[in-house]
Amino acid sequence: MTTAKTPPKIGFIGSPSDAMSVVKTVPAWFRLTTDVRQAEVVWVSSTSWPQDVLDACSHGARLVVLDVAEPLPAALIAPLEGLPVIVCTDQTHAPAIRDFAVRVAPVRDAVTWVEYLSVANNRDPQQLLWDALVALTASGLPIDSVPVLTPATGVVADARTATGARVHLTCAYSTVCPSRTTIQAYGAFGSIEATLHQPRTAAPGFVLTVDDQGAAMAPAQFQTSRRAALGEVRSALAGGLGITTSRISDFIQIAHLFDQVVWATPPTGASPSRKEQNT
Amino acid sequence: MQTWRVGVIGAGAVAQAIHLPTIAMLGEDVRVTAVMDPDGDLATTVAEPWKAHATTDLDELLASGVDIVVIGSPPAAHAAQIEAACAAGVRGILAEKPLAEDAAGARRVGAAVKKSNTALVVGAMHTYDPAWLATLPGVAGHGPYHVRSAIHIPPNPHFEDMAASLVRPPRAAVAGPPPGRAQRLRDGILGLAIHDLPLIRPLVPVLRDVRVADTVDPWGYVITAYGDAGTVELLARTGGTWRPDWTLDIWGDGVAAHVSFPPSYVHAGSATAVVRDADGARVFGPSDADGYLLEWRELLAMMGGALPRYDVEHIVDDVAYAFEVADMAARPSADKDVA
Repeated sequence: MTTAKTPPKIGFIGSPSDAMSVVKTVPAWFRLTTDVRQAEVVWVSSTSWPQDVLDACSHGARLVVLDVAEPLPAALIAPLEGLPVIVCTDQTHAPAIRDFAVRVAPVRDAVTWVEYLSVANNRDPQQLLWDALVALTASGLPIDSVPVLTPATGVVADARTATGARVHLTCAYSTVCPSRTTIQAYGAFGSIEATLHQPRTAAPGFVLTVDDQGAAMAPAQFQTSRRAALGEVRSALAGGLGITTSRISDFIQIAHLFDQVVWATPPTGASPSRKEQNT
Repeated sequence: MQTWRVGVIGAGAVAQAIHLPTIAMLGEDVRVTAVMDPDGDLATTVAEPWKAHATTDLDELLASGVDIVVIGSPPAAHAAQIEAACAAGVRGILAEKPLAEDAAGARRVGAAVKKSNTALVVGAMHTYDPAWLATLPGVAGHGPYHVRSAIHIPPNPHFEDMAASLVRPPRAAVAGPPPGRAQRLRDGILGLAIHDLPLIRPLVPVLRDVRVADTVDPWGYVITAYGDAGTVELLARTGGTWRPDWTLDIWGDGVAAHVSFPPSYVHAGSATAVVRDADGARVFGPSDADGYLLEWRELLAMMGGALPRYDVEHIVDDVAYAFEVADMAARPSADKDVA
């Protein structure tokens, strides 16, 4: 007779998120606790996250998940270096991005050209750029040069990855289009592209790989990013493995880069109309 | 019913894979009667199925009694050949883009066309694409715009061979050093971006500043330009193995359009366009007729007395717009945003 291992306790700090809803559906994965000091996993989505993460770690949490969508200031995130913290956003664990990253990994050094396109009803250029940097990092193609951006009717930037691939970033603003994100990587191997129809929902998107042998399209799992993150945390804890993706160290790098971004001024007339700015 | 006699000037891939298959679709309205190419063997081979006269001499073709010439020669020859056709009294010209090698040349060509009262259609097939023609009224007047033209296509021969069993003369070795960044950018804009620049011009008619402009290997470009009416991105990458994908996205104030074009050469019908506004989404296309067929129908209609969809001034302004973009992009300082 075997005894089932007791699931680890998980606690939440901050407003309830999709992750808390998911936890209630998977009692075999985690036990929900309101005493975060007793939790092995602490999910932080509070505005006081810098201190809450430090407190959770000092109380012995095995893993802290920082679930904050806004850009993380370098000065606030730097003290978390070396702590068992991962970051979860709409982009970090989106199944299509994860699948894309798996397919890109073997050819990463051969990628010469990357296009990132997001269409969203969001006019905040800082948030759009942060989401793009996070998505590219989660894709295994992190930006390694300081982008120069011209926020006008949208956000367009030109940058490079650490392996020298050129990256063209487009963040378009639309009140009438469904949100979507596309990441395409090109090289002598052919192309790999991921399409996410709506990162905030479980709409799965797909990954398309094209080479001289043909093409293969793989639909991604019907999972939200938080559900995927919870599954990854569970597997890591159960197997005693470290998490190698979405680490706080990756985000410290993103935050440092983000702090250095040059925001160029668009030519007169190219900036958004007053009406749009107030949307 | 009148059958128009067509003279083909330049017998390469554009003639064989685009215009001759399209002419074949027009039935009895047109008949190819002469083919001219500096390569006499090529002219003869291409002329043979049409029982047309083959020549290496432009004057001989123009003197053969053709009503229409279709010009698919190298771009440097276009202007002189159009002017010669006008002077010879040809009634209709379908000229591949660009009309000339610079804006001044295009204006000179435009003046010759007007003076001779010749019907002129430029082979900018997307400007005749029915899905695009249905899209433009839905997005016009909703600036400022963010426009993104993105072209990812395998090498042209891949598609040329889908359209025709092409006769390819041996390619002459190119003397001298390979073209530099500025020349490659010009070639990219005047060879590929020029398909979509006439679609962009009604939305962002004046471009003030090119912030990013560079070439992309193996062949292509990345250009970001800003104008009073918005932002224009031009992206192209060709020459490798990837999904053929030719799109034009337009995001405006309360409207958006996504137009997906088939690759050049393939005669696969029109684009498909989705136009969105507060009332929802409308889909246009795909239609059986592609832009190639409709540019020929336009030319025949004009020769029959119909008013042109695009008059000579409009055509010349389209060319001038492309040259403005090319000139701005080719300036050394145009890549200043690259980190």
